[in-house]
Amino acid sequence: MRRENESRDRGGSATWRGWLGLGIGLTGIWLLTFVVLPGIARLPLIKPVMEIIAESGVNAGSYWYTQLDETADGSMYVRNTLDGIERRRQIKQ
Amino acid sequence: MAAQQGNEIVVDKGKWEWSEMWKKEDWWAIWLGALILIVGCVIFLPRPPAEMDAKLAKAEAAMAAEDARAPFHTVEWHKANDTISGLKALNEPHGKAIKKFFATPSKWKDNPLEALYLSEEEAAQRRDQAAPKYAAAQEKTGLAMAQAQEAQSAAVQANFNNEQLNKETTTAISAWRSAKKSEGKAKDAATVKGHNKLPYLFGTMIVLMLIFSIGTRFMGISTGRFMAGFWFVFLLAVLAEVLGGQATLRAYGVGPIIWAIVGGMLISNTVGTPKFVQPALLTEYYIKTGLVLLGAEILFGKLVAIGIPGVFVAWVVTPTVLVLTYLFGQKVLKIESKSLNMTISADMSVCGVSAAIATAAACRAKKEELTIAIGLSMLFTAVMMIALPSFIVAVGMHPVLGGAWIGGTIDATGAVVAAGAFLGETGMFVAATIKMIQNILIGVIAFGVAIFWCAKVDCVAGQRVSKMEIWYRFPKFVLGFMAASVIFSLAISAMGSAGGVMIDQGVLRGFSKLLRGWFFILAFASIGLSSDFREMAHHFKGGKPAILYVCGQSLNIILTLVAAYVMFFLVFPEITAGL
Repeated sequence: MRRENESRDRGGSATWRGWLGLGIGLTGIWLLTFVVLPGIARLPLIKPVMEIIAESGVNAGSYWYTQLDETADGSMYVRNTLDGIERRRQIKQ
Repeated sequence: MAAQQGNEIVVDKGKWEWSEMWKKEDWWAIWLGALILIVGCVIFLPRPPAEMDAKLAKAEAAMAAEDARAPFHTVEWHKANDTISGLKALNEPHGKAIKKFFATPSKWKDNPLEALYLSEEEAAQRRDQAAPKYAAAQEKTGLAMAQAQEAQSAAVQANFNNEQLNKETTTAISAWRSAKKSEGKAKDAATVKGHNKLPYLFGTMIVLMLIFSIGTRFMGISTGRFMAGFWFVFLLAVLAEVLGGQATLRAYGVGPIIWAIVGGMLISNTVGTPKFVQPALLTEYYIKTGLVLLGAEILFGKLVAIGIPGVFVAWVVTPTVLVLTYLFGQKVLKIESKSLNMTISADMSVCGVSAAIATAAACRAKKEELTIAIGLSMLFTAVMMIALPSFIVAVGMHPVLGGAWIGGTIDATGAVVAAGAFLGETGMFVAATIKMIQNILIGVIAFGVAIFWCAKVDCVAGQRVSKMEIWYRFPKFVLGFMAASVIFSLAISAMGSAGGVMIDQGVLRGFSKLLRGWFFILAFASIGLSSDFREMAHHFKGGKPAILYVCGQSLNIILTLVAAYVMFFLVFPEITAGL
């Protein structure tokens, strides 16, 4: 990635506006986490899916297959099933 | 790369110097990645689980015998499959110790401190609370298994020729599998232990700091100043991991990576990133080293996990959507930045964050462009993760088709598995497998994009680029990325079933994955700490990135559904029936 636009360094001399902005940002994150998203999860259309996701314990934020055991279990199951189909086909022949 | 001013055009002229191999971060990413993978092999390969070969042989023989005996997966077949799935080198004492040391903060619901510390008394209280549910789950599993065995006995007596009895048996076995899964979750809650993550996090910080310090001296970066700022980047990474571990955010798929970016941007655009942190903001160094490790997890043997239908859905539709979306962005939307266009196209069509990281590094996208791509992906992933399975269940779509559709369209792997869970075990397994095959595609995509950028994009119109020029410009870390992929794919293939146990479930998932996760979160904390809201707003002008994402994803949804239907129902219906 290009290294343009290096940070706007304020060298630690943050103004009160900076701290206010940081406070507002952190409050926004808190609201999103504990008010907005849980509220959306309770909507009738969304609730059934969110309940199953929560119950399954899957980390929906995982971005790569090795972060989830389900990918290993799933691919193992599918591969062994395909092997079984092939074996049955050979037996029939 | 030197630039010589001609009469009318600027001609790029690169050159190769051997000193690049110890002065450039691309090469340091390769050396560090190789070192980590070698250490992982040295730790795991000589220490297989007890009687691994005998257990594998016995389980495989049992599955073959059951396949020959019955037209469906019997109870014994599932038990043998569980034996193979349960064999993991990372579950050996050394694997557990490594996992404990490099573990990220735990998940939590209301109290963020629990991510870092949970007293033994509190853990005991939780165990007591969860014990009745676990006992009930165990009883339910036992009962379901007895019913499955009873149904199977009736089917055996009919020599598996009675369709009705066979169907009743598969239904009973499916109920047993579901109960067993619920029991596993209940067991996790009933066996929770107290923890104090702080000493391990401190140890992890020291190890990571030392790993990256090795190259700083050679690359002309002050090692002392790097170390002085590193703790701040690591602290932000830990805070992002804590926030990303919150139950609601986990369920929505809003993981630590986005919080590392948001947290860093919040600091850099309000109070400002402290000066002493600047030398530790080595985004490229962290991300490229992480990508070399990611390369080792690109195992080409997994391509055939679901046969030709999976390869078609994941490897034919996906590149088609990628190319068409990129062309749409250039020709119709006229997106100014080609690297932004490519990064969004790749993260939308392939596999979200991981594809965005690999593609952005391959086409040298700006960090703000990578941030926009990841932000869009996470937003739409959260929406699709809820909307798609709801629609699939509402219209009564077959779980194999629904799973393939989810796996081919939803960006993030975690969100795919979460959405697939709504369709039941088969749907989830198909979704997870298709997404895994799509994950493997990013090796080829990153390599192709790097070549395309060197040969076609990063040059003046009409300029012919020689092969040597392509080599000069080529991002060298991609070589490490590809080499790791090829070497580990060959090794796992040569080892047969043991390869899955020792390499996939040992060296990779038990060691390099843990470090790679830390490298990426450090990279995103660095991106956030050095990003500018105004620059991002400039790239988002006119909402073109969002339009590109929506149009590309719409095409992806249609093409994937059509391809999955054709492959799983018209061309290979026997695979769908067998699953």
